Amino acid sequence: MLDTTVILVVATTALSGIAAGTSLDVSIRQLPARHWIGVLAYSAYSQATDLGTAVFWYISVGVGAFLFALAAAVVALLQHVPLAHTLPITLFASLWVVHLLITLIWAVPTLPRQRHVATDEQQLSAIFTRFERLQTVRVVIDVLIFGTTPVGAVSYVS
Amino acid sequence: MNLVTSLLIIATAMNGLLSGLNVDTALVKLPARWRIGAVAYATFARGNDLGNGLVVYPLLGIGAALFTVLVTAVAYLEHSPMGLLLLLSLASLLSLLHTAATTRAAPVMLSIKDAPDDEAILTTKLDRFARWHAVRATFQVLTFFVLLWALVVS
Repeated sequence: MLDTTVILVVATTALSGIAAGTSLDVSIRQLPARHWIGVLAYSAYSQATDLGTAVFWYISVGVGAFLFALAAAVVALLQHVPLAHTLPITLFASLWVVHLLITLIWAVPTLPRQRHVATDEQQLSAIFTRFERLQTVRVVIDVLIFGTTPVGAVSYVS
Repeated sequence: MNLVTSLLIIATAMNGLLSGLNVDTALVKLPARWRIGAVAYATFARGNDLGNGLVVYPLLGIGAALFTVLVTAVAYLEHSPMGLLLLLSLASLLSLLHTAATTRAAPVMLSIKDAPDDEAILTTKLDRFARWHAVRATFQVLTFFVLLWALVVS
């Protein structure tokens, strides 16, 4: 059965997978790199990406996945899909709302502060440590969402 | 949920994460070298790709390819429907092509570790890495999408 809900769940899974992989990369590879190369070198890279192409790319993936997840939940409810199937769909839509709130309220304003502290290593360290804590919360949510979406897809299709 | 579906979920999950890693490198990280210069980017790459990346990428890359080939083999052994077999075979082929492209990209990145901080040398190396990375990222994202399709028809 390939209906609108399935298409939306699959689209959400695709974007959530890309988002979770991206988030894992930031947490496991990118942020720890500052301990190897120093915060000044890391800040140069960070300002070139997090304040550059990353803004467009992360917003596109994040907002896209959130909208697909929301649409999937709404369509599933409107189609009176059985509760067992709507639960995972509603769960990943809710997790995307939480993720988006954390990102917009706390994570997004953190990195641009680098511009104001220039070469002060202590302040840069504090900024990256704070961002790392927020990023840890986000990566857990990202992986949870991606873990939920295939289950949602399978439970709905089967 | 049967064995093929369980393995397919694991393969899809691993390939999805690897796709995110690859797309982020291609669209966010590598273009940064044009803004900060090849020397500064190489410094970052020595901490990123040649730091934890030396563990994370091989683990996820080999794991994703292994599970993709494994689920395809199990699907053949269990005589799964032809539509699913075709999709899984295509995913395996794409996964192997990703691995082949990685065997061209990885040595270039590894050579940056001991390369001198010379803008011209590093620019050549990073451009070459970016080209091979774009190839493997394309194969990887296609693998993920084909596996998602297989998950729907399974």
